[in-house]
Amino acid sequence: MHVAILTLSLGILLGYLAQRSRMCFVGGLRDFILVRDTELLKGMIAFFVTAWLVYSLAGIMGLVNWQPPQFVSLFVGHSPSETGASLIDRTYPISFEKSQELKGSQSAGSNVTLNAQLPYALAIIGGLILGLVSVLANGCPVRQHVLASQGVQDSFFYLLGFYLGIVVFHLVTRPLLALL
Amino acid sequence: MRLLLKRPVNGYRQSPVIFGIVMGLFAVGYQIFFHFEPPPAYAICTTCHSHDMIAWLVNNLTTIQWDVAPVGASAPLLTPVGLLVGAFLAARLHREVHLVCLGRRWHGLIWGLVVMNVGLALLGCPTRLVLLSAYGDKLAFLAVIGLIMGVGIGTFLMKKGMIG
Repeated sequence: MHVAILTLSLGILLGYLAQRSRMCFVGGLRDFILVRDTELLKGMIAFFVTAWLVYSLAGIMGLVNWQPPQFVSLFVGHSPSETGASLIDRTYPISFEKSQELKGSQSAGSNVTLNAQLPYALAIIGGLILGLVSVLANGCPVRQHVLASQGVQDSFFYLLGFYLGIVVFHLVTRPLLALL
Repeated sequence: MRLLLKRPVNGYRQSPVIFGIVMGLFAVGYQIFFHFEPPPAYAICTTCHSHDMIAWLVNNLTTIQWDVAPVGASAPLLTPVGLLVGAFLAARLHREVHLVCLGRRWHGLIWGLVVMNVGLALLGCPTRLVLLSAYGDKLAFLAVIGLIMGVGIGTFLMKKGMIG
C-alpha cells in the first residue's frame, strides 16, 4: 500500500507545481518552434539533465543498475536484441508474451532483420504520432490533468477519452500489435 | 508547500526549471530509495500509471485480469489522482478555477483516446520518454526524436492554419 501513498503524494506535489508553472512537455517544444519562447523548454531540459545527472551519480555509486547511454550505437547498426533493449521487450503492457515471440522468431532465423528493426521504426513513428496528436490536443497528458483541475471542459473530455483508451487498448490495439 | 515555494502564494508563478528539477530528483529518487521498479524509470508516467490504476481496479473488482506492471500489482498507482488533486489545490488557492469551454470537447475525447493507445503501445507519455532517455534507453531517445518531429509537424500545420 505504500506504493499508493508514494505515488499519490508525488502526484499532489507535481500537480501543484505543474499548475503554478504551466509546465507542458509538448507545449515547451511547440512554443519554441512557434514563437522561440524557451521558458517551458527550459523546464523539460532541466528535467532531463537532473534525471541524467542523478542516474549517472547513482550508477557510479552502484545504487542503480544504470548503463551510460550509447546513443552512437543507434547509428552504427546494433540491433535492439544485442543490447537487450527492444521496444517490444519494454513495450508496456504487452511485454512478456511478445518478447517470447520475438525471441522465438529470432531463433528461427527467418525474419530476424525485420523484427530487429521494427522497434526502431515503431519508436520513431509512435513518438511522431504522440507529438502530433498532443499538439492538436493543446498539451501533454500532465498538462491536460492540470487543465481539467482548473475547470477546462475540453480537458475533461480529453481525460474521458484518455481513460476510455485503456479499454480500447485491451480490446483493439493490443490484439493488433500482437500481429506484428 | 508555501515554505517550498519560499514566496508569497498570491500571484506567484513557479519557474518551469524548478518544476523540472524537482520532478527529476523525485523520479530518480523513487527508483533508488524506494525501489520503484520494475520496469525501470517508472516513477512518473501518466499513461502507464493511469492504466495500472484502472487495471488494478478491474482485476480486484471483476473477473477480468489485465496485465499490470509489477510495481503496481499490489496497490494502485495514484499519480493521476494526485496530479488532479494537487493542481486543483493550486488553482483553488490562487482563484484560478474557472469552468470554461474552448469548443473542442469531442476532438479532445478522440485525442485523449489516441494518446493513451499510442502511449501504452510505445513506452509511455512524453514525460516518461524523457525520463527513460535520461536512464539511457536508446529506443526512448529515438521516440523523443520522433516526438520532436511530431510536434514540429503539428506546429508547422498550426502556423499554416491547416489545423486549429
